[in-house]
Amino acid sequence: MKKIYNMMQIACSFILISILAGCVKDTGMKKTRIFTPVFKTAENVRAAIKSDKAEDIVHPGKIYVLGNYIFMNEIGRGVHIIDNANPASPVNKAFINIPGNEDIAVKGNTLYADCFTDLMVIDISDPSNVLLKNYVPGLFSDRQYVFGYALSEYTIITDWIARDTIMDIDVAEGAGIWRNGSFYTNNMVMYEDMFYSAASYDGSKSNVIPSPVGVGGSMARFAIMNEHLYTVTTSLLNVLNITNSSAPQWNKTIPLNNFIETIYPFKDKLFIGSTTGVLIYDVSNPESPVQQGVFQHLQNCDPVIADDNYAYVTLHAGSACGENLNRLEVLDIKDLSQPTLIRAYDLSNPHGLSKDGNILFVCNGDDGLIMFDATDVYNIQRLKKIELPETFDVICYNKIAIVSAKDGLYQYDYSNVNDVRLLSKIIIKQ
Amino acid sequence: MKAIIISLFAVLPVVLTAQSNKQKEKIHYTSSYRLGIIAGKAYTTFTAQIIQGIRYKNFQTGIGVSLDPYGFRTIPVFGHFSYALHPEKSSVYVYGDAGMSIPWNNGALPEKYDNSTHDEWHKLFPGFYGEAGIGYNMVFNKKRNAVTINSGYSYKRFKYDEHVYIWNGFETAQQKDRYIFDYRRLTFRLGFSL
Repeated sequence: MKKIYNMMQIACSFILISILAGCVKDTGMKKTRIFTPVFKTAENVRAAIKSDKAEDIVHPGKIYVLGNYIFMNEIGRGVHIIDNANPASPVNKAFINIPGNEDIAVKGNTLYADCFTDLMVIDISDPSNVLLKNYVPGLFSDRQYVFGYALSEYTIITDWIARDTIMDIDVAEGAGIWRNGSFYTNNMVMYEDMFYSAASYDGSKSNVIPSPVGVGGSMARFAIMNEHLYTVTTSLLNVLNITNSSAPQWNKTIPLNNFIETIYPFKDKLFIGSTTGVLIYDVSNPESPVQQGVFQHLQNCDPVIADDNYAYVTLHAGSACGENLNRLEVLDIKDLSQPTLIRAYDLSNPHGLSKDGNILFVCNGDDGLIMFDATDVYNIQRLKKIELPETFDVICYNKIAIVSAKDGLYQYDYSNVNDVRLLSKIIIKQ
Repeated sequence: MKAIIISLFAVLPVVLTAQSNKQKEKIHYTSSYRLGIIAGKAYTTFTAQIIQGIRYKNFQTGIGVSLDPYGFRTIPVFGHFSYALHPEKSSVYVYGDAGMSIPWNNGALPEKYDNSTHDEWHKLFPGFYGEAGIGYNMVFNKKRNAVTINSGYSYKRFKYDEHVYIWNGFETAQQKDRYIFDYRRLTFRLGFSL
């Protein structure tokens, strides 16, 4: 009897466990903020491209300088026009609303600006009354998808609406963790279900190209050389003839087998910065760039500028940049088919750079703006450091260094390198 | 912190057992040590558990700590209660645990922001832990020392905030996402109680 009683106890236990087995499950949820796009017809967007009243600079992007004007990209929104006739007192004159804008270039009275997949051609002869003259559709095909949404020929995203939401998360794989929208298991398998992207810093540039073509930055993705506009996407080099500046002819696209970041024109060469190296293209025939050399380095973000004999590359660690390297590299490009590394200089977080004669300016992130004497490239000497918060872009223009930093756009007179003077600061709204 | 909790529970039984030997009252100190498995929908993993408490007639209560690697490794710290049908001899008992499950990060979720990589960082929170089940005590001496087996239904919640930088179409912005996970599993344990 006692044994039967014990047996019944154990049997009841297993029955109970079996019932509970049906309740075994793992569930997960994520409370997050999602962004849904506001679409407008491409026609309406193009009709709205005009000079609006000046707006605060909030998220500064790439800079282009021409004559008395500074053109500053507001990332994803448009272009600020800043009257810089008096660098000691620049005036924010107007704002051009261009959704999806990230890159700009200026030639004479024409501003070229991307609008997601299209190139906008804008007459800026009267900055207070700019006029859209033309557009080139589909030039930037890699920007057809934005934050997981597809753009069409007829619709453009003009704004985003934020909404807090709760979503279920699949945890069926069990032995792993969710991190940044991806599921990591012990085998390092990753399932991406959300799209995140890092911010793109903007760029500076050199001072070599004369007007009427403007001066852009070392992180620019547009470059104007004489009668041609060259643009790079992540994997393509586009060639546009702008002999008639208001009617660009898109003649050629060259595939590039690297993750392209920047393009820098010098004489009849294009220096294209990628995450894995610097590509040098010869544009003696401007319609048909031909690759002449390549310098490969570890995977890093790398704006590049050049002069007759040397190229200067800054490598900085970052979210999408691979290796954790922060340094300035100097390349010998006398033989363009075989660029060679001369020397590397360690820095803390270098970004944009610009060179005027033997003076080299490097934006060094939180470490401010650093001036170097690059007379001897084998032994570049630090001249001066200007304390600024999170610098990322510098353009040398008429002995004025225009510096883009976290809290503002600064202008420094460096005509006397021993007495570099702050001329002005345009505050960036925090 | 987790190591201190585990160490404390490992040393405590020696002290408490010594004290209980001196006493003849009906309240007895007791300690239990168990190893076992946690079987969930996704996979099965091991677990270990220590409970220190007192025993009075059919009832036993105490506090316990265990290692729970299922989903995300945690250290549950909980109150324990059980009722044995026949406390003086081998018999079935039922039990229930309730407490907090404290995350023990193995580095999978970085908890500091790295300025050089701009990676996301996390803040981990304790979540509710509970378990209920039945077991069997095989008493092998007059002191009621016993080999025990038990099985139960176990629940734990794990949650954390993830601080990320996202590109929202126009700008890069910091955002806090909260992840909440509920794990409902079966447990099977074998051990002994003193």
